[in-house]
Amino acid sequence: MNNSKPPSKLSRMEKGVNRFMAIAFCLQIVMIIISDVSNLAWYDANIQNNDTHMWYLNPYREERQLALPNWLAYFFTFFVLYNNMIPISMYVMMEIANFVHAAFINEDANMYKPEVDGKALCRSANLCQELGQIEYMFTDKTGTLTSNEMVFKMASIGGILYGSPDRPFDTGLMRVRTVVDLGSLVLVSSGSPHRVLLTCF
Amino acid sequence: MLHDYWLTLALCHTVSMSTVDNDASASDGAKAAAAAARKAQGLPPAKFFDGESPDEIAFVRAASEVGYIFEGSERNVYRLRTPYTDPDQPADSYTILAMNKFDHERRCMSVVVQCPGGSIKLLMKGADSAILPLAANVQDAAKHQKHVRLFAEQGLRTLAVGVKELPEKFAAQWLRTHNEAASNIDGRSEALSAAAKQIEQKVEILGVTAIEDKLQDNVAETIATLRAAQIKMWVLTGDMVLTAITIGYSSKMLSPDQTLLKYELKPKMRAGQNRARLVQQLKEDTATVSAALEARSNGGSKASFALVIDGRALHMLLGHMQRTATTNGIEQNRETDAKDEAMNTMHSFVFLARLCDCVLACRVSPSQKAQMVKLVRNVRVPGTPWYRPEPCTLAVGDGANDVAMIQAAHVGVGISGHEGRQAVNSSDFAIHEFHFLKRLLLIHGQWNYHRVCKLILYSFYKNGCFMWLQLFYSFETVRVRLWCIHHCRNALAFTVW
Repeated sequence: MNNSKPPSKLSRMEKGVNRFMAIAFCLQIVMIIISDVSNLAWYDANIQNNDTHMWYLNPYREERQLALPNWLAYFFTFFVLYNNMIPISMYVMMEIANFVHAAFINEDANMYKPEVDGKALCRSANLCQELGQIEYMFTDKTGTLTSNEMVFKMASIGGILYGSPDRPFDTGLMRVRTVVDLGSLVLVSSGSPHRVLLTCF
Repeated sequence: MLHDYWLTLALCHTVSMSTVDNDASASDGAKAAAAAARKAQGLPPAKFFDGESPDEIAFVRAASEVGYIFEGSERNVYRLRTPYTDPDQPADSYTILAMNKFDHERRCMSVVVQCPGGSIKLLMKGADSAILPLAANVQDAAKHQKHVRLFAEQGLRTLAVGVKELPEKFAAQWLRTHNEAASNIDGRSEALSAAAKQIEQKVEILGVTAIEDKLQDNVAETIATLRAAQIKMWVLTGDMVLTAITIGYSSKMLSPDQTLLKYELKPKMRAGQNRARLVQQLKEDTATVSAALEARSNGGSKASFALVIDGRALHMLLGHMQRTATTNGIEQNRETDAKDEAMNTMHSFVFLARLCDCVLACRVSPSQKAQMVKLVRNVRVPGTPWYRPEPCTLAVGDGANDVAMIQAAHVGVGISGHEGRQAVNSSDFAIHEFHFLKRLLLIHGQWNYHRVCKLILYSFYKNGCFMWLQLFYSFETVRVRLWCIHHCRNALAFTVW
């Protein structure tokens, strides 16, 4: 299950832009058609009919000689004319912007951990924008929220509390207490308490 | 009493001792380097406690600092130095006569130990809820219960410790039962745990331990900030429900005034019953929660809910579809019904989970983690408007068990830590500490989003300008205009006329 192939992640914004691009393309086609039809009608009305007041557009009264039929030729003419509608350059600009942003993330001094000489690392720059729109966050617990280092903190022995929540557990003190406890035991059982105490310090 | 307490912590465990010399693996460069340095100085090789459970390692380490130094084990003989031990002599040997391993039903472990003096003791430690009821003295248990609550409020992981002196005869008798159980072929683990239950009775409660699994720096603050930014937090963990809840409180993921909705399996019920009960509970909770939240949106109450679900309960609620897959002709109809029903359950679960401010999923497998992410991504809650895009998800993890989740989410963040680089290698962003997320999301993410949005809008605006310019230009020059305006004017004129 961990072997599934890594998905290629596309940010939602890129998907949205792609969709909008399709809309822009349709809009462009519509405008081209309007322009094309208008042009044909105008051409018929003014040039074809040897209209005199626009003689300068076709001074020798030649038939138009195009490889393509008129409507198609003008379709492509307008296509080229209006091709600005689709901002191809935007993709390049976005890439550059994301690249710079990735550099910002990689070089952020506030996300640097000096102990391990570790910087943050942006591995897919195109997902930078997604970071700003997170709605749901899924986190692991051990090792993510916690540092995965268990530390003995407090003890309650025989109803007596040792240690405190705001300090690390004082093992030295505990050692003395245990020894004293043991020492009294040993005294009672007529052992040699100094020996016990000696072993511990 | 203190002696027995530390003795238990030093003996009742499955930790082993390892010297780095033997198994210095290439991955552990720092440790290997330290070992080499020690060797060069002529010191004996450094020793490390090795074990499955980090809690036990913490116990053994604490005990050794207090003076109960565990020096390794050979088979069933544990070598331990106590304050009794003469420092010039080798460490005392404690013979482990039997070990009742931890299981999830008993929720404790115990060892039967023969001390150097010859006396036989049962040392046990385990979940407080499992051990305190076994107390010989009921008042004793109540006294400790108070401290358990105190520790839990501090977000510490608690375990209770108990001891019992065994008369030699009784011990020998019990050991026979134990060995018989151990040599069973069928139902060995059941027999062993039954034997364990037999002896784990009427113990003297020594005390309670409190272990801190330290939260990383600034976790609570980070979570509070992200919460204020309206990000919903789901914790998916392999840990037990209780531990997860404790950590939830200490990390401010859960707040004390939140209502917890718990979804757990009751072990005594059959699967079908359990499922029916869960579905029923789901229905009721959805009703109460939506009513309460409506009241909240009207400014009435401050109700807030958190959902806690167990991995097996999750499987019951969501993994139902595979089980109903039968291809019999007659079954077909029933199958579609079951499928519909399963879909409904899934939808209402996602609906409820989305209403809650926090979701804790415990004991979930890596694939279930990914499943949860996909649920939020793909399941459209009824009533969402069509134009709303799927919610944006982020997964944070540090180990190999988070890889599936990281790949399933829109954005995967890997935390580079002790557990290797698998998570980082499959992630989109890698950071070193959890609290960097705050900066990553709220500063870098936010700014990038704003800037890229501006860039896109400006791009379209600029191109629009260029294009409309062309259009108007061609209208303004004679090409199109005359015909168009002429006709329009005529048409208008005629109409008006």
